[in-house]
Amino acid sequence: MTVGIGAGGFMGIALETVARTYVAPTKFFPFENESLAYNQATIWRRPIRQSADVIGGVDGNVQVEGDIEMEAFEDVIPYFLMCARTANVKTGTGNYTYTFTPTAVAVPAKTMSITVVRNGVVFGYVGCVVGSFTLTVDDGLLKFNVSILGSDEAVQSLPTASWPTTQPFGAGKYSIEIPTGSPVTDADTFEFQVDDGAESQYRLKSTGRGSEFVSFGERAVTLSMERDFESRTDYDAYKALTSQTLTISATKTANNLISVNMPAAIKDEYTVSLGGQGDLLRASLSYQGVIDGTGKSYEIVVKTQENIT
Amino acid sequence: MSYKMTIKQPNMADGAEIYIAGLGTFQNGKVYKVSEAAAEGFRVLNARVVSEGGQTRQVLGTPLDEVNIYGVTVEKQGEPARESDSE
Repeated sequence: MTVGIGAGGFMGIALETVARTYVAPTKFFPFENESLAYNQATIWRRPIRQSADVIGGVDGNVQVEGDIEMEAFEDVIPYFLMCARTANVKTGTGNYTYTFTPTAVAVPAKTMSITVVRNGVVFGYVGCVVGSFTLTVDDGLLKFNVSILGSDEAVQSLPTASWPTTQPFGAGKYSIEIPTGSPVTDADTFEFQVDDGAESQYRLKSTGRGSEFVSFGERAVTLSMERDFESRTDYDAYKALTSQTLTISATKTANNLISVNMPAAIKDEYTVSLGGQGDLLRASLSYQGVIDGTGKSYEIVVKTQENIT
Repeated sequence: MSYKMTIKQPNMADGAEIYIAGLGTFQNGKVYKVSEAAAEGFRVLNARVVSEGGQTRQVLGTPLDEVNIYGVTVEKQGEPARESDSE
């Protein structure tokens, strides 16, 4: 082989039937960058033995860790959310609706294999779980970023990719409702993040060094956005810790959309300042998602023709 | 020489577009005839450069009927085809 560049790389995913057992990719998707890495906690030996140097290494625990940044595709996001701490209800025939709600389980219902090809070299990551994810807008483009924790990595046979031709969500596709049912047009960006406090768990065993599973901890559901500042209404709601429903939707057609609902969002920070003569007055807000009467802090609805079984 | 290519990805709807680099865009659920020239173009796009003994050379990609594409089956056929036409 010879040197390569990122352009020739690609990535594919597949849900695992048995956790940590590799499955060749069934879904390929374009992405912007990835940083998946095999991390081993090698124990460097420094016993006292008439030497001031490391005298050797001993096998340590292994985990897979890294981020994937991609355009948000309604036919790809459900795969990742199934490997997050969510419960998923799928309805429909032909046109499918996937509704994801958060749970309090310790481990995800599903894990995935992620295959990354770098310069023609195949890296097969197994037992991968979504520890946190972000939906955000960058210059009008909806983006989906995930932080992955996995168990182990091994070389696999080189797959040949086939690509969906799904168009990303761009400007003119958004609806922001604060509260839900009342669209506003004074926001130009948002970042919705769910962090489930994922952590690799190692167990003493005789086969392999990879983490035995990934556990979840406390969850944080946050949303930040910037809005034009025109009155005290929202600011007073911030001071009063007023809970609001909030819905952000990106819609291409009635059957191709991604919608995020926070049923009880409370403002955590609210800043508005006079930064300079020419500065437009904007309010910078961040919300904490708290649970509603049914116990959920958020809900994500994805409508797509992708049939995930 | 041509190839019969059947596209059937169970996770995608019939009629959904699938792009295969070096071959083009196809519809799920359909059967296509792929010409030898198109199949050769696929190998060219998937070519890699190898370095041996200080010299580099190009190696064509795997032949179309030998690659493993999820939900895609390819069979070699004797009859010629001019383009990647749907049957």
